[in-house]
Amino acid sequence: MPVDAARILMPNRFRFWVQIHMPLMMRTCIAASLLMFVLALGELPASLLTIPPGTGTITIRIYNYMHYGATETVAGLCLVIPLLTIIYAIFLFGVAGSWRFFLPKVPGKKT
Amino acid sequence: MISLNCITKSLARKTIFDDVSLTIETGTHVAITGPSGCGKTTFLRLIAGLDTPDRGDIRIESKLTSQSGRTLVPPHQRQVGFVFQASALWPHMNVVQNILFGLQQLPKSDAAEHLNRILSETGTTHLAKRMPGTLSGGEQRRVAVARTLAPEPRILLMDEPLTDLDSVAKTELAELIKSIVQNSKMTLIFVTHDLKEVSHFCDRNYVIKGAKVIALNG
Ligand SMILES: Nc1ncnc2c1ncn2[C@@H]1O[C@H](COP(=O)(O)OP(=O)(O)O)[C@@H](O)[C@H]1O
Ligand SMILES: [Mg+2]
Repeated sequence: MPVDAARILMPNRFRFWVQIHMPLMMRTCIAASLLMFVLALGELPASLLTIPPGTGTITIRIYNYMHYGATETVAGLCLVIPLLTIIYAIFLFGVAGSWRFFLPKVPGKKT
Repeated sequence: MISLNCITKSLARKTIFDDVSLTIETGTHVAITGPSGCGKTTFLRLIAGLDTPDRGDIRIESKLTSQSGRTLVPPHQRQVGFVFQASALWPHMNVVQNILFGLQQLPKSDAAEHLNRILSETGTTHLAKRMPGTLSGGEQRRVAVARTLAPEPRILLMDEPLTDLDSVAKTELAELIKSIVQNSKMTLIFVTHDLKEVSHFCDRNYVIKGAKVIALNG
């Protein structure tokens, strides 16, 4: 309904999107970005197909070290993955907290 | 004049309106009632252009606005104001920003003047910098009314604005709405489940029953 209210009062399409739609969607987008970050971080098959020669994502390195039997390095790198996720999550909480403009507080129906 | 001609509307395979025709003269104050889920909100949404009728057409001041599943005039060009059932304030904007959103076409100085007038008319001046989430139910409704009136609509649609308020807030808001509609030429369509609320400012009453809109006498 907040979106319907904006459809009636709409000054123009651009402002409708920037001032109403995007801020209302921001929470969902932040959650979705964390989810995608986790999926992309652990992604091996797609990375193998698309990286340029000589570089490697963290999963590709783990893959290669496994081949050479460097167990300690593999274990270490595996620990880095959840660590990166936690750092990104903390960053997102920071963003969520400081960008008040983009973070709708849902008003109670009745107080 | 708002005229609905042979309107049929179904939602989720349930027929809400079946061949409804109705004319509302400009400047009249109309109350619509009916049990929960009978289509009161849908009726207002059809006039506002937020929903389109499956069949039939809607005219506002003889201009064709919706016809058989098509919206010919979009909601923001219909000069309607809509006070939603749950206020529907934008939670990320404060009271002033909420009201100013509909005034962005005006030059800055005009908008500011307009804003101050509307704040004092609706008794919300002291709430100007507050966020919607911090307001009481009655205050939220007042701000919703202010936001709706700011662009000076010609048709005012109100969806149960007095429901869920305590008796003091209800009486105050009813007084405010009464003084607003009686001092203007606006057409009012007021949805309520309790016709007693509106007996002192509505000229005509309708009830939605069996997918028809029926006029009530008296
Ligand atoms: N978007 C929707 N999709 C499907 N069904 C809907 C939708 N909106 C409303 N309805 C149904 O249409 C009927 C009328 O709704 P509504 O106009 O909101 O009733 P009222 O405001 O009179 O309580 C209800 O049965 C409701 O469940
Ligand atoms: Mg309703």
